[in-house]
Amino acid sequence: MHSFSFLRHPLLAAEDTLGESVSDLGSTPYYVMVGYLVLLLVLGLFGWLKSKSGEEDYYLAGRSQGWMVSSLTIMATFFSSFALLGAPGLVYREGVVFALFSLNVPVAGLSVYLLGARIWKLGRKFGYVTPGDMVADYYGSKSSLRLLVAVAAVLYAIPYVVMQIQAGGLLSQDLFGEEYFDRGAIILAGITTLYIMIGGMRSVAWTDLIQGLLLIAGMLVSGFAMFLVFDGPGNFAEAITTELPESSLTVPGTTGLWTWPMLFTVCLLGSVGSMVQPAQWMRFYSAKDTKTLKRGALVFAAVLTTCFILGVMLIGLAGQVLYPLEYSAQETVAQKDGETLVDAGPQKLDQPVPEEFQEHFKFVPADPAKPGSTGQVTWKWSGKSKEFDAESTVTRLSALSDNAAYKAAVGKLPESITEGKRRPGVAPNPNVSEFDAILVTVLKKQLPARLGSFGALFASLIFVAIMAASMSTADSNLHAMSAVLTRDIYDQFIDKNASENRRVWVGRIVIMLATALALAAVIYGRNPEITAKYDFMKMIAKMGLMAIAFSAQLLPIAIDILFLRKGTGKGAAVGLAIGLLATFLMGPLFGILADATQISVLQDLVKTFGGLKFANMHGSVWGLVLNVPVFVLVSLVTAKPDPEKVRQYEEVLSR
Amino acid sequence: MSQHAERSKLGTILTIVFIVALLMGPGPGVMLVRGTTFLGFPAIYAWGLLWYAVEVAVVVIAFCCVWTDDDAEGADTDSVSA
Repeated sequence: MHSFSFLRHPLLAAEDTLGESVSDLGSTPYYVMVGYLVLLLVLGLFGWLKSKSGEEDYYLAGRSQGWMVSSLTIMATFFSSFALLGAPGLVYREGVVFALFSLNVPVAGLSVYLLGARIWKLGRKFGYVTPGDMVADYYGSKSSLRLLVAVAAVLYAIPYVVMQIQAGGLLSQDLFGEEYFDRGAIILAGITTLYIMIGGMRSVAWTDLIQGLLLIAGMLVSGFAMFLVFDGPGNFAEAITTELPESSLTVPGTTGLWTWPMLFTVCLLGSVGSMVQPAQWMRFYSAKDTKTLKRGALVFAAVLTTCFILGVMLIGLAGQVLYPLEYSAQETVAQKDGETLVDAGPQKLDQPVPEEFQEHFKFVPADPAKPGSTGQVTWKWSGKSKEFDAESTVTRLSALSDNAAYKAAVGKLPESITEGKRRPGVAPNPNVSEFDAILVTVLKKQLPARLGSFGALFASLIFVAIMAASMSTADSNLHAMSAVLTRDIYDQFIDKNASENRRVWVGRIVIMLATALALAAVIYGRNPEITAKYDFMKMIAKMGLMAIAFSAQLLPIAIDILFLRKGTGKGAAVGLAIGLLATFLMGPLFGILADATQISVLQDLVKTFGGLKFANMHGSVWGLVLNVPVFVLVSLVTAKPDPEKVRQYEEVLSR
Repeated sequence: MSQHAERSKLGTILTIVFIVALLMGPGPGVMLVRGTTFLGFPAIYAWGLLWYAVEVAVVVIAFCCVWTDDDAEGADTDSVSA
């Protein structure tokens, strides 16, 4: 049973009566954000004053970071706009099933110690700066492995930076108006670039310290704020369980994407994949000792999981109650073989659509001018609908035309909706600009209404936490990418004799260029044609998961070096190359390339590779399915690494 | 039994418990959840809270009782340049 009535939650009714003042946070967000940005620049300057010349200081802060700074910079790098905008956005779209994504955080926490401590020991002993340093040194590879590790780093870092800059735009858009999207994105990108360039790792880590504290507070407080909005946890739970549709409360969620194989592979590979990405790898190097990483792992697993599951995830659920999703089911008015276009469907209905259905039912006829064109019937309804009788409504809609194809299409609508054979389309409520904006919308509209000027301040601080989450991840990834491109590409292939000072400057230029590229991708990605076709360009969490699929391809190499030491350099290189290629070909980037170039062979390949996905799983799986066996097989028939190097590694790691 | 052996045994147990929690929480175990509510909470959310508690407990126990080998690893470790 579904209802077509668009019920409004009582809290929204209160919002209406308060009018504009409810959504108006006054000038508080301006003051709070300006204060925050000035603080970041001061910290950047302080990092510069404390810095010493040389790459090891610029990239690893002299390997001297204590547990507090290390824990928070690892956390702040891990938690990005994905945590504060993307995750609630996906809970808002998919329902409670995505809250289970929180269970990836303890896996990442364990990795901080189990992988991080080993990476630290080797980095300390052999003076490594980038992941490529370790991989190339262990396997005795002069160039190919370094290059491939750098490619993996860039494929991970660019989308991750893109989504942080996108978050800055989104926040500005929802706070100050749509025309502020570009300005918000540019300001976030500009200030982040500035303080990394000034102070390197020291500035990044110190700003991450502040940003890490802010985002922990922001995540917890935003969950707590929902209890205030609903007058207590009991009312909150009751609203969710009684007002949300069943698809929002069960597996696999609203769109059917979050089946257990997807959830499981995201929680396992997504988390560990995030921990072997270059920015985290370099954070392990820069820790003061392994005790630092041990404490970091504990804080990470205990505190951050709590922030997710008891904090920010609740916003998405509250959003579904306050701003019900809009669903739509669409059926084609099919043309059977041998039928004429007229037989395939009416050009107009015999009777007008009854008034009570006009908001929800739409018929679009086939276009006679376009061969092969088909008509469509669309049915839209609200997320909290419970009283609609699908059967009787379909009977009444079928009666609007005698055309058999039309009747057949209308007859399929309840099948799409009620039997779950095909998931309906889903869109955010008209009061929410996009799924990722749910946190901003809920806080902006609800907190001032409930708590007055204190609510406005409260909301503004959480918005600063979003900026913090975005900037702390963007800075870490830009900084790591500059290290990788400078040491693993420039230093190896362009100018082997460059001085340390020159290399640091090359790194700064890389940061500027990468930021400009990411900013261009954000602005280009706002094109409605792009977002309509590739929702990962619009949804932060999806872009993040795509990026992690690339960094996860470093896992077999990391596990071999840190634990097994059975592989060979050629095996590692071929496995990684094939893993990255498979991840690219099976992921959305290849589709964009095919569309952009309009090369028919590529477009056919996109369909072919899409058909090879035998299960609904995280993108990293498709690369690893080839990466691991190829690594093993090639390692069996190629020369082992230098035995002396293997012995040294075993000695360091056995301590 | 030596302290090292005891820690190793506890580590193995914790590893098994953590893997079970991962399989049960976001893994195939989630298909065992029936209905939409449990004690007034969304059933899937309550399921997630249960395995969250198990996973975090494993990390806390590991921190206190298993990860002790590296306490001495500090800044005084010998280093050579790559």
